[in-house]
Amino acid sequence: MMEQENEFYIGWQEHAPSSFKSSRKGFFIITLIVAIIFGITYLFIERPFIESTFDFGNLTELEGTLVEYPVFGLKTSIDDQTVTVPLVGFGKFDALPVLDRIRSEAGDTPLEKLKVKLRGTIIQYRDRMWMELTEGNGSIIEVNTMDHLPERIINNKGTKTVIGEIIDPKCFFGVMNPAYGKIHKSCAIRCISGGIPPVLAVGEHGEFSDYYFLVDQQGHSVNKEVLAYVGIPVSLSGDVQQVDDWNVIKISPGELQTSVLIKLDNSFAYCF
Amino acid sequence: MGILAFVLGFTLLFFIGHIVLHPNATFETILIRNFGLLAFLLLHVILITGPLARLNNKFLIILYNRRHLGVTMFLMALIHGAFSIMNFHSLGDINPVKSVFLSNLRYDSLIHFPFQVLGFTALVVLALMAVTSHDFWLKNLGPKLWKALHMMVYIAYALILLHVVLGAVQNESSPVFFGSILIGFITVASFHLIAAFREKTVDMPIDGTGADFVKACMVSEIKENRAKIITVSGERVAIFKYDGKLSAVNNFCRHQGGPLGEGKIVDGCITCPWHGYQYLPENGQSPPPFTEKVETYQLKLDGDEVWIDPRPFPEGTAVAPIEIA
Repeated sequence: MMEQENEFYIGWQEHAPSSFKSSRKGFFIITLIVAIIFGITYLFIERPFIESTFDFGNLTELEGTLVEYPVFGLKTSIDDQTVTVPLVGFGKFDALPVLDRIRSEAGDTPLEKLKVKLRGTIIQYRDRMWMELTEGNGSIIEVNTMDHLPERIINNKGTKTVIGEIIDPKCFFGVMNPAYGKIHKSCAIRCISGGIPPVLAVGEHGEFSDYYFLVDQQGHSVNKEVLAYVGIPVSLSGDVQQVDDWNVIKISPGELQTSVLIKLDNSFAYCF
Repeated sequence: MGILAFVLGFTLLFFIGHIVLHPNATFETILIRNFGLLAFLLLHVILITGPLARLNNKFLIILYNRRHLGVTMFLMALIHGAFSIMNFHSLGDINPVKSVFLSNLRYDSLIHFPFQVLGFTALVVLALMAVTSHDFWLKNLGPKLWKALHMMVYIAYALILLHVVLGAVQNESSPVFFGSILIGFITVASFHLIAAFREKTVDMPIDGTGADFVKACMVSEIKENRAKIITVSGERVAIFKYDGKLSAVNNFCRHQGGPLGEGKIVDGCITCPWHGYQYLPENGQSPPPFTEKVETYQLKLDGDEVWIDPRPFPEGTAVAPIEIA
């Protein structure tokens, strides 16, 4: 005991006295045990990840007709089902430059009378598919004119109040996972600021069941107007429309400040 | 080597765990979370090391690795921060660093506060500390300024705590997250408080104002080749006993502020327990070619009682050791 008390060690010495070595060993073992317990606990308690995918590195060709409302998309057939695949650009941007290029190639032909083949990266979550036009204008493979306008389904469903979170759909449907809540808020703001159409995901805390594109009463983009409400639980009211296989909710940007009720006060997650 | 093995082992476990339990998690999400967690864990280890070594000098051996731990922790935090900025802020309509500060503008709200700004600021503080961790900076900045700079680790810790609580914790539902952070904080705070309390009780201050000599301790309280630390007129002084003599020097090592009084006389020199810097007990000077110097004090004996003149001599002043009868 006395011998141990008298032991002294300087960091640069090659050999440490036994009592110092056992202290170091004990400290290292305890740190390791705490780290392993913490790491394993973390794995079991973190929120589950949704089954979304971003087919990074693989480009897919899709053929169909173009739509502009509610967002720029490609109406195509997948597994004998007609679906609308919204189109977005590379990074945190919309695909409108590609749309402009197609428009300039088409001349006077209305956009919706065009049959196009586009190449891009598939973003998918369950039955919802999006496409990133990764190569910009190089994504345009073919542009042909049709002699008829494709059929569209537009049903007005009346005024509704929906509760959820305004997300950036590009990240949410596959590019990032998870892509909701406060951690993703800044990214979602940048995406929506860059032109990615805002979507209201109905639900909270990552449990979302339905999705609505947000537009104004005239069907125009409200990207700038909703930026302050992105990534937080919101409740909003508006006229709901079914447009093909997507839902749209028309809101009044001028009244956004009052029509959007931030529901934070009742949210457990935000009060810990 | 041990630190690298720890980092690689934890990372491997974390990635395999996600592949098995969360196959839908993306690579960059796992990477960001892994290195964020590692940095957070290592920061706690670093903060505990100091008070632990004060409580039991056998843990000083860990203190020698603190600088390596600190730089490793900064690298972990840097990977976490860089990938987060790349993931959440790059390829957008403004500069990614600007985006950290300008995307979420709810600086007026605690709940909505842009937590990434806190993490970014902490990373800048940690970077400053990592860059100046080399002895070159210690020598050029001087030990007091260098020490003050590195005490900013507590500011970084506070920022990181808020970054985690206002960020990751808000996205998760399990109270275990908040509980773990609380336990970590309580552990760090407890070690510091216990060490401070013990230091205060062991090291009772002596008021030497206006006195020529004040009673410091008994000769029998000082072990051979070791010291007794006292506080006199606000300064910590180490009184060493060696070869039947007593000498007193300022307790503050000029290298990194280590406690000389917790050191030992080795080869006739006071040897700092932190990094082995040495001083001659009779004049407070490092043996040539080293140039560090500490203040010295005049002692006198009254029977078995050791008395000290509270007025220090200038650094490196020779004072004849007093002989123990």
